[in-house]
Amino acid sequence: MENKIKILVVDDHQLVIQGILCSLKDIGDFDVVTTNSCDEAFLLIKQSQNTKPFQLLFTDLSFDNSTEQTKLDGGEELIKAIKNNGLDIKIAVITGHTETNRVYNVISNLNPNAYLLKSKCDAAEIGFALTKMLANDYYYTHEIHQKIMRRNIVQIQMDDIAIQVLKELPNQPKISNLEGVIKKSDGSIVKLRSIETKLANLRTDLNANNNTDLILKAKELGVID
Amino acid sequence: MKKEIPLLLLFNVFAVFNAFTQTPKDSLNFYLDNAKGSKKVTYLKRAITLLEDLKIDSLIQQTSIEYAKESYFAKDTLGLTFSKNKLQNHFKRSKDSFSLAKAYHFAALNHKIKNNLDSSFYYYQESKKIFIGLKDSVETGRRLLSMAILQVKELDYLGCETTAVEGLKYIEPAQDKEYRTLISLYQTLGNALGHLNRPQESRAYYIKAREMAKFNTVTSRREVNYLNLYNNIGATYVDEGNFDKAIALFKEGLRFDSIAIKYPRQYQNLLGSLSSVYFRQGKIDKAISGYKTVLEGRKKSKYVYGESVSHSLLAEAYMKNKQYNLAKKHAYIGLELGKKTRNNEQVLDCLQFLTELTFGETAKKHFKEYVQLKDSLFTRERTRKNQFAKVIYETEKKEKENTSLKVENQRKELLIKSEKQQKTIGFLVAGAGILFIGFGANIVASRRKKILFEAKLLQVEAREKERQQIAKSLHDEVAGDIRMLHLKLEKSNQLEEANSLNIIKDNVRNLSHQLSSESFDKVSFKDQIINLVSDYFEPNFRIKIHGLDTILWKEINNSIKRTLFLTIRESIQNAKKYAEATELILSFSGSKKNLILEVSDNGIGFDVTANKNGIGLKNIRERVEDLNGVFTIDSELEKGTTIKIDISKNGK
Repeated sequence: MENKIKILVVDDHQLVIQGILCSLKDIGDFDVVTTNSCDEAFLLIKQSQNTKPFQLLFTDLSFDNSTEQTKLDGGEELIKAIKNNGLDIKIAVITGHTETNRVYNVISNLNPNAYLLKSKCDAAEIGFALTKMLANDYYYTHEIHQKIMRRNIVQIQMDDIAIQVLKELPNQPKISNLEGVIKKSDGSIVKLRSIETKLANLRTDLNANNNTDLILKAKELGVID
Repeated sequence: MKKEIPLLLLFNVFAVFNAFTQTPKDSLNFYLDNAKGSKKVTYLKRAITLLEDLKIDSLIQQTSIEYAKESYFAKDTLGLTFSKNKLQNHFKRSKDSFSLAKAYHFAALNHKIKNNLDSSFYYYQESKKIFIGLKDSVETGRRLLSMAILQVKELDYLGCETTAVEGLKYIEPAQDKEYRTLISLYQTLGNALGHLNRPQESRAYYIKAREMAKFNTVTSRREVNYLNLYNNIGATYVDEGNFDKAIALFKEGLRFDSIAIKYPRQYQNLLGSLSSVYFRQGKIDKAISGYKTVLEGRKKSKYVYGESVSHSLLAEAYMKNKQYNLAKKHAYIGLELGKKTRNNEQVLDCLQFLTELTFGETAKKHFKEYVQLKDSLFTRERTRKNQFAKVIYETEKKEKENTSLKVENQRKELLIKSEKQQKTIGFLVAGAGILFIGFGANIVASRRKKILFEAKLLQVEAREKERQQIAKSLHDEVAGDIRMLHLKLEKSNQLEEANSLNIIKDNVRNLSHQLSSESFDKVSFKDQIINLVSDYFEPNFRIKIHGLDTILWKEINNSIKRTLFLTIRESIQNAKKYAEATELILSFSGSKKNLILEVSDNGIGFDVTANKNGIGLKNIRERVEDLNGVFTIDSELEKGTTIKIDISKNGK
């Protein structure tokens, strides 16, 4: 019992909690605590800090059971409170929200260790995410990944220089040749250093291994023709 | 050379032309240059006629005046009338009142020659008035002098005194420049005062005249002045009974070098005066011999007026000496000559003597004549006086009226001016008022607009809240219930039903998400748009965004953002679902006041007029119009659809 990983599961629907509990049982032996409200969840995490702190948190985003007295009326508020208090706990979001807006908001602002979708989730995925999180890594389910990727694509499309770089790259044998070809909207030349930085960012955004892969991905994803 | 020929020709033509035009000018110059001596009058008259033909106004005035002068010296009344008419015409053309004043002057001279003294007086008066208006004090003074002389002639000494004193006011400041007028004025005044039995005052003016006489540059005239003044000043002493002083003065005058030859008239006057003093002193014989010498001289120079005086004086002297026949003889001659020269004073004297010298019916006849003449003279004198007084009175009255009219005019002008000013001020005030009202109205209108806009925003927000509540209940209650049902169905292995229920659940969820307002304060609008686009982006449905960075979204009202967001979502959904578009472009642009969004796709398009725009677009239009924006939709079949939204940033 001493070495068991301590997990807190928060959801307003008992069925979901049951499902997660079932999944966790399949994965391993954990010390799991559940609750229906964010306020209670925050209290539990805080109280356990001095005795035996929770290592993992699974939380939903929207909570329908909030009342007038509720202080933290949703997953985002709970995560924010945890981060603001500097509490050391790995956070996984397990929710039904797939709108990029909410996904992006949560990921970019709250930086959770995992983002899972209730509808597509099973014990195996939860287990995989759990391992990743414990290894201090991140896991976003495929659909969320796709969302983020698409968002990157949209953003790249808005970036005139990025588009120029992606279009010109296949025509040039060397990256250094791009200098002088890529121009800003005011006509000034973009320096090689900036072009290289841009390429690195593009590779990250489109999950490409190298520049060739980047061009292929860009074409595949519809960034360029 | 060739060029010079036409030039030369032109010059020739010009010269010939010149010659023609110069002909009258030449003769004019000839007339003006040669208007001297005996031909002066004729040439001047011709010059005037020519000047009038040539319309040289400036010379007409001058020449006419010159001609009038000559005519006056020649006692040519026709010439005077001619000049007067020319000057009057000149005045009518040029409005130069100097000409009119001169015309009156010449009219006065004309009447003077004709012995119409009151008419003459009237025209002098008119001329004087204009010169006063012209501030020409010399001319004014001269007219006053002429008037004063007329008054003396008509025995209106008091009137003369007033006129002469007024004349002095105008002439005295000019001093020696107008010495002739000044001397004449002093003499006339002295004369008048002498007749008014104020010898001391009279003498004072004579002495003043003598002081001025030194300025007379013409020697003979200066000497005449001096000699006359000896006589005049002497006469004042006579009036005072100071015979010794008078005799001394007369004798001093008579001692003047060769006076009898050079200045016979003055000699006769002085001798006459001296003799009359002797007569008064009872030295009758001495007086008679003096009178006789005078009479001889006057006879020689045919000074008939003087002759009558001499005869009358001789008659008186002989009568005193009891030489009645001689007295009678001289009285008759004096009477005759007096009547001839209209020397009423002498006529009366002679008649008086004759009454005493004759007897019976003759004496009666003379006496009757004397009384009649005296009476008529008296009444004439009175009427003349009255007439002069009347002229002066009326003129003064007119002047007063004029000045009062002037004052009235000035007052009226001031009034008009102030009214004008008031009017302009009024207009300005009115303008300012209108501007102010306009400004105020504008402010009120914009304020009202703003209030309306704010009210609309509130309305929109309220609606948004409502939507959120519906979304929430949809999500929480309906979707929750469906999920429960779904799970139950799954457990009971009714997979087909479970699947379709899952689809319904997803639809409800989507609907809920669509209805719910995203938390705009948490994510920047720019990111929201990107996120929204990302939700629909696919390699075969590419969405491009332009100008998203050009707008400061923080400054844009949330309701506007909401509308834009919903418009974009609706457009994307339409393009994707119905238009079969493969590409969609979002363009943001804006000015200081407005925000413009254009969404265009390359889809199949639709008939805009077909009034079946769908509930989505209808909602968008309503939302945009709620915010006082302009919603336009443009679609072409097989080409695509463009939606344009133009919203004012602050509802104006």
